[in-house]
Amino acid sequence: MSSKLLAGLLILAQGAPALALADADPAPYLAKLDSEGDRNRVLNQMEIGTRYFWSQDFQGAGRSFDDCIQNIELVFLNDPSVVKARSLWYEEGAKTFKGEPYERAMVYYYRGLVFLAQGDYENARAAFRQGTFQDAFAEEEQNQADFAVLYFLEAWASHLNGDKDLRDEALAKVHALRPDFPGIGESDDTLALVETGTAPRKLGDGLDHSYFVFRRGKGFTENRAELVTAGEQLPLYAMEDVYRQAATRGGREIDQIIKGQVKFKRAANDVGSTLTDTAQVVSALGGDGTVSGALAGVGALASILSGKAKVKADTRTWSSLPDRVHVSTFASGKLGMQDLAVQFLTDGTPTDQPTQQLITIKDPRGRQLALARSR
Amino acid sequence: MVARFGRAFVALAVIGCMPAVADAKTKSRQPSLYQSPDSPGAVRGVGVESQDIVSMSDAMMRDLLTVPAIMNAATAPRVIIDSAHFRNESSEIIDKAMITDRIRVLLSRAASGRVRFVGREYADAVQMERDLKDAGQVDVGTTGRTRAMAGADYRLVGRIGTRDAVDTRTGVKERYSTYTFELLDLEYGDLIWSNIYEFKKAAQDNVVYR
Repeated sequence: MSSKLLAGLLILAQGAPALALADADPAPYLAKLDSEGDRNRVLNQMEIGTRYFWSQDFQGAGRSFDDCIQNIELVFLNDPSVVKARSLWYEEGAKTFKGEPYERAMVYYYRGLVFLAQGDYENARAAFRQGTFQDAFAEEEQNQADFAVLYFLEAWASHLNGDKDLRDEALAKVHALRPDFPGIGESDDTLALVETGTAPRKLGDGLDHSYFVFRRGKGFTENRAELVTAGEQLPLYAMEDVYRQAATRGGREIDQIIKGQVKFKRAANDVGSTLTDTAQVVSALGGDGTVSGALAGVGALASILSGKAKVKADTRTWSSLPDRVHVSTFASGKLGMQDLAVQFLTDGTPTDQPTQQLITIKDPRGRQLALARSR
Repeated sequence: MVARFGRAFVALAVIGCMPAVADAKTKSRQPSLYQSPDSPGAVRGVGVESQDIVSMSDAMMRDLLTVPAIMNAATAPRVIIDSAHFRNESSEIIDKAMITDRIRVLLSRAASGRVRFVGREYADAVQMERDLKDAGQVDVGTTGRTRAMAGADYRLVGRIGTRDAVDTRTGVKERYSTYTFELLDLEYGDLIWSNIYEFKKAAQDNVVYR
C-alpha cells in the first residue's frame, strides 16, 4: 500500500482534514480585482484575504487585509464616487465599497489573526482594538462596540505578550458582554477558533430596493461546536454571532439621504401621471392642442425624472464571512494536539457533518492557533 | 410649436439625466510618484504617517545628542537601539523597527564614533561566526578574537500608546498618540534620558460610510 493511500485512509479514519472555504480559490476574485477597479477593491480583497487565510497563506492574507485597511481608513470627503452615491441619479452602490461596520470590523479580526499566526502579538492586539472602533458607529447605543470576539482576541494577544494588566482590562470588557465566559488560564498557550455557518445576507427591500434588511446566511444548521480529543468532548464558547452584529447596527445616515430620494421619485412620478392625465382630459374636451401638448411634455419630463432617479441601496456583501465564531483556550500540554478535532452541533445535537481535524499553526514564539471552519 | 419645443426639452432632459459611464476599467491610472517622506501623503486618517515617523525620529536623535552620559563619556558608551523593548500597547498597527532603525542610523551618523551601537538583534549571526572561528573552520579575521560579544551600557526602551474616541453623531474619529522613548542603564536600571513625541489627529469620513 502506498504511503499516500495510507495517509488518506488515516485521515478518513480520524475525520476530514480541517476545511477551508467551500470555494477556496481566490482566482475569480483576483480577476475581479483588476476588472472591477477601485469601486470594489475592498470587497474583492476581503474575499481574497479570507481565501488566503483559510488556505494558510498568511502572507497573502496579510497583504489583502492590509490593502482593505488602507482603503477603509482612507477618508473619502470629496471623492467622485461618494458624490455619485449621494446624487439622485446614481445608486448607493456607485460608491467605493468599504463595507458595513460589521464587515470592516471583521477585516481587523482576520488581520489580527494573521498577526497572531505570525507571532506578532502587539500588532494583533492593535488590529483587534481597531476592529472594535469600526463597531462604534451603531446607531443604538447598547450595540456600540459590543464585538465580544474582538475584545476576547485583544485579551488573548495581551496574554501571549505577557501583558497581564492589558489582558485583564480586555477580559473585563468580554465579561461585561459575555458574563458566562470562563476566561483565559494562566498557562494557556493555544487558541482554538472555529467558525460556523455562512455570511449574513443583505436583501433589498422597499421601493426599488431603497433599503436593505439583514437575514441570517442560508444552507446550514450548525450553531455550536465542540472540540473532540481522545473520545472526550470539550466545549467551545460561542463568542460571537456575526449576523447579530450586522442586524443590530441600526439605521445608517445614507438611509436618510436615500429616503429623501425616494420621496422625490414618488413625487415626480405622481406629478408626471397627473399632468399626463390632465393633458388627455384637456385634449378629449376639445381644448387647445398647444396647452394639452405642453402639459403632456412636462408630465413626461416628470415621469422621466422619476424613472431616472436611482434609489437602490448598496447590497454588496462580503460573502465568505461566517455566521458565528466559537473559541476556547487551553494549555497544549494537556491535550493531544495531533488528535484535536471539532464536532459541529445544532442546538446541542451533532449535525451529520463529519468531525474535522483542526489546522494547527505554531507561531514563531511557540504558541498555537488551531482553526476550523464548518463551510 | 410649443409641443415640438416640449419634446426637444424632454429629449435634452433625458440626455442630461443619463448617467455618465462609471466604468472602473476605463479609469486612467496615475503613474507612481516619488514623494518626500516628511510631507503629508494623500492618504489621510488618524494613524501614524511617514512624516510622523520622520519628525519623531529626528527629534529623538537630536535630543539624544545632548545626553552627557552618551556624548561626553571618556570611553564611547555602547548602546542598543532596536525595537525589542519598544512596546506597542496602542491601537496602531505599526512596524516599530521603522522608528528605532531611523533613530539608530541618524544617531550613528551624527555621533561620529562617540557612541558604539551594539547590534543585539543580530547576535545569532555573530555567535554563528564565533562558533566557526572556535571550531577552526574559518580563520580569526583581521580584528582578532575577544572573550565574548560586546555587552551594552544603555538600551533604548519605550512605549507606544493611543487613546481613540469616536463621535457617533458626527462620525469624527480622533486618536491621541504618544511615543515615549527612554534610555535604560543596563547595569543600574535607571533611566538616564526620557522624551515623548505626541500628536492628535481627527478625521471625519463621508456620510455615505456612516
